[in-house]
Amino acid sequence: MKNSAFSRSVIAAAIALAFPAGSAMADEAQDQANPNRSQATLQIQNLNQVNPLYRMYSGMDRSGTVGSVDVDLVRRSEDGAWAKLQARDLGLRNQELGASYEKQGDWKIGLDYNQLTKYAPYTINTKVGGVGTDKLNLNTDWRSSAGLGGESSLKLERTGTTLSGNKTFSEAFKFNFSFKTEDKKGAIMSSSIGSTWNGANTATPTKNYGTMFFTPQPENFRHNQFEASLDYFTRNLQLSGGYSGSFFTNNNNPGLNITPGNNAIPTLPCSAVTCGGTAIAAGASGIPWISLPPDNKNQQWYLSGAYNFTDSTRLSFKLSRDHLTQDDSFIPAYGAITPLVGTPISATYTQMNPPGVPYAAGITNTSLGGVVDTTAYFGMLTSKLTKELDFLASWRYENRDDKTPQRNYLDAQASAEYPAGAMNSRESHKLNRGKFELSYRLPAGYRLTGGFDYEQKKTPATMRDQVTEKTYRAELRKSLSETVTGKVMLAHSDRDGGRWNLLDGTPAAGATTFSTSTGVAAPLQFSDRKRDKVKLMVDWNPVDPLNLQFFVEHAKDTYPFNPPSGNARMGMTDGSSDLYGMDAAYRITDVWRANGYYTYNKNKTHQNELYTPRINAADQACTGVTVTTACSPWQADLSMEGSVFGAGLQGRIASWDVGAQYLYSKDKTRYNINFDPNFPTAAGSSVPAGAGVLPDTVYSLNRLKLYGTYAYSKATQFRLDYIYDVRKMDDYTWTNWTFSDGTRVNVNPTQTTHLLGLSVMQSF
Amino acid sequence: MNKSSKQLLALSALILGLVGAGSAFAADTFTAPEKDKVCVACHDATSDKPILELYQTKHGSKADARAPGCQTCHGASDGHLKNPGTSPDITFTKNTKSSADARDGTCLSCHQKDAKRMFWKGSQHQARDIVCSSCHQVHAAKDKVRDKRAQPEVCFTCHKEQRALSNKPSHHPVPEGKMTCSDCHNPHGSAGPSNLVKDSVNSTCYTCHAEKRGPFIHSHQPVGDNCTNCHNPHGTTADFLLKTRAPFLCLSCHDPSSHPGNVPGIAGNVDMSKNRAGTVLSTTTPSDNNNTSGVVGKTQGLSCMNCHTDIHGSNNPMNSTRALRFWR
Repeated sequence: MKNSAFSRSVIAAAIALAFPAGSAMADEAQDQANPNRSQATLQIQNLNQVNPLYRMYSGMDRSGTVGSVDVDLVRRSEDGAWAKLQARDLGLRNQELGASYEKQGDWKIGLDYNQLTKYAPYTINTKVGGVGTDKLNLNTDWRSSAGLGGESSLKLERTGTTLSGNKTFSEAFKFNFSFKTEDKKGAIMSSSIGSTWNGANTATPTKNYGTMFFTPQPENFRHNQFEASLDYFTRNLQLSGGYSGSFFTNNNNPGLNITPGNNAIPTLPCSAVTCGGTAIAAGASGIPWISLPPDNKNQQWYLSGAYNFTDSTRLSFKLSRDHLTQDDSFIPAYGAITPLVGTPISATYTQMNPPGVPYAAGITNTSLGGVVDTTAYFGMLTSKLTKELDFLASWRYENRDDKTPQRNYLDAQASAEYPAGAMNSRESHKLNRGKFELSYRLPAGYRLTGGFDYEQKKTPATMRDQVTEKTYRAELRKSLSETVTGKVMLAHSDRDGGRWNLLDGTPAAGATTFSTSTGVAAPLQFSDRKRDKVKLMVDWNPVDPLNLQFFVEHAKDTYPFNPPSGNARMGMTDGSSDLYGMDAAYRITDVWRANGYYTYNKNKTHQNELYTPRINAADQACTGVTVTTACSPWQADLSMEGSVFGAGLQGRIASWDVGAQYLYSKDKTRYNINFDPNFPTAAGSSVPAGAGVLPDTVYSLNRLKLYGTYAYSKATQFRLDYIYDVRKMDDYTWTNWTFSDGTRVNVNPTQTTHLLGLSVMQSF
Repeated sequence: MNKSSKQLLALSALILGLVGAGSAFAADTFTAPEKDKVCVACHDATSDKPILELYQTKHGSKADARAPGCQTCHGASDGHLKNPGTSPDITFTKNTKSSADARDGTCLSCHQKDAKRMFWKGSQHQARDIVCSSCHQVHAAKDKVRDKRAQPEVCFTCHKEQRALSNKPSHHPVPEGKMTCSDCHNPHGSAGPSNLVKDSVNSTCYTCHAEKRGPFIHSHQPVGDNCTNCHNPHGTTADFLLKTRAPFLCLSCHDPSSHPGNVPGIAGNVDMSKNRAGTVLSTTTPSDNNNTSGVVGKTQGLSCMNCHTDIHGSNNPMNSTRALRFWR
């Protein structure tokens, strides 16, 4: 005891030296009403180990002890000026800082800084060099069995700074502005197709088509966004006119350059085993340029507003005009396609020296010259037709006009696939979206609402011609009750958009023709859909300290589509969605409170597919027109099931404010693949052995958070935190998967994290 | 601690010192405004319904003549003044008898003068009798729904599905407090769908993902149509917020010529040299190894995107179908 008392005295003395005591408030009322506060919090956290699933947004990428600081400062002056400073997690990779100064009702200016790092939820072993840059090197020894080096990771870091403010000029006018600049740097998981060569040191190597390389795409972006508006208000009229500009810049080259494994381009002359005396190494080949996101900018001018015709009838609207441009430089061209020396390397798999890609004959422009103008009108009318009856109608019309010049970026192909080449795609559309609603107030706090939603999108000259969806809904809601409130909602929607192209390649009436030849991802389908949905929610206060909520949702989808005789029925056929659960909150005493919830959800889909065996490396057997022995029909029943349980308890033990939170979440996805038992027979099938067997994927999260806060004095508090976090991932995505360059991605199936935190909160 | 952390820490300390030392911000002793004294007489610091924290907020600033008094929002409440056992004229508690219009009207009498609330009337929330006080705690010093870290807790009171989805392995950093619901949605109504802050789903997503905006030489139509054709921004079990993992997601549109209809399978299980009945397949070539698009290559790793790398659109001008197919 003596030692304990001594320890407390030492701690108290140390704290007194470290933090000057805050001035005591005059009385409790002053404490409760005083807006001024200044608090700094020093956090020391100890992480037992870095687990990728936990680390993802935590800002901590190393184990051991780290420190961070929070700051919270508010000052209000006698004349109504506010100064605020708030900082969170200073010292971590997800730190935030915001400061503002405001003369209430007059003007305000604020500055915010945000950093957010996202770490990939796995680790990687790779020999690929240059990750995070726009030049990747697959390495000359990419196929050797040498080690892949230590574990590395991918990360993306955003750092954003925002300056914002406003000025009120009079009762009627207000000016607002904000400018945000954000940098995003790092690399994201990405792969690319290439080819490899068997038989090193031979003049006739064999090409392996379609091998896949680990080629993470670099992100070195800057995004500037500027907004300004001038608002005008009277009692019945509100107007806001403004400008919104978004300017995106990719600071990398327009293409990601991949140096193949056999980067040392042989020089003539070649023998059977050497070129210019250098051995012909086996290695990756393929076109070395992958396009990266181009710079683009979008500017919008708008006028929005509202007018109150009466106290209960109001019209609000927004008119806008967007101008989007994209004229970033292309990956440079080189004229002659120079194949690697010797046969059998074809001209289409080209070298990278000189850098660039081959252009089609007619392409002389060095950028797309993309221009898209979008004009939109939105209006909404609300009115109280009678004391009990409310009316609502809204409509949006949008015309996206893609004015990008169309050029042929592909020379005419000898195959039937692109006999005339291919133009750049243009994405214009006309959208009409409406909503009508009548709502009637019944006695005893009931309200009955009926609604109709309509959406039609026309996309001429594209593969999907037109989609129309109509939704009818009804809802009964009960409110204004001391014990039970709630709602029940029914909805039926009907989506029509699948008529644009039948699976046999015959376009539906009025639809755009699209080739169903081999080699393209066609015939495509976009199914019609009917959806029925029911929602129920009840909020019940059986006794004063207890509140319960129950909720149930069910939706059923069907995709009515009957292919022409002889055609396979493919794509989605039906699906369903269920969600139910309950919440409970209980005030045990004035000090102790508990809450808990459980939610279960399940989504199911059924889709039909058709297996297409490869006859040779460049062609496939099935086009979807007929089902043959070789083209085996199969079905997939997917079931995504999740349950979440959460519980919380908070209260006080002696001088400690304590709390606990528990979260359990589990997701299980089943992939049930079945083959048509009649067609074809297993013996005649060319479906490879083992195909169609996918294990379930399971993810679970168990997390317990405990905390306790001790008020050492009015100005000084201590807080202890403990987090126990276990995540389990059983997922086939990366299991036994090796990129063709040898790269492996690792996910530890069980990841247990302990985090212990000590915070000192000092008020000034 | 990295360089930017040190700079931010130093800046914070400087501001803390400067502002803390400013005498203009010195605290005084609390006295209620004249118009509120009749209420504060009972609702003082010891009341079981204390209201004094309101004076920490903008509503309680004496310097702003527009700031409301208790009776501005609750009505004259003569009955309550005479008999405290009865309710004020207008109350905002969960089980109030005051109509939604009356409660909304109280707040909107001042707050409608804000462009961000121009579309409140007719919005999804307003039309369902969700009122300002359903989400906002007007008397509290810190309004939970205006705190980025605490806001989802308020929204999840009704939006249960979104709460469940936020715990999926692929999610936006909402549970971690680095992003919040109002980054994408304006709960006060907007001219866009689902109360989105911008006029469409895509323009909302582009505020953070402008690299997907294009236009590209070769566009993938569902991308420009609506990001939610493939992604669920609230959380998914599949990577990259994909609604269903590939190839099943892709197969819902792409059938079946070429290889899309091939049967998924995983490395270790699949033997490309023979069929399901054990018959040796004569058509097997070296190209049909596991990493091709035949079976395993379309199932594992990035699945379809193992090859179709630029699935959001390709701006590669190369004279090759490889750009058309989003390989390059």
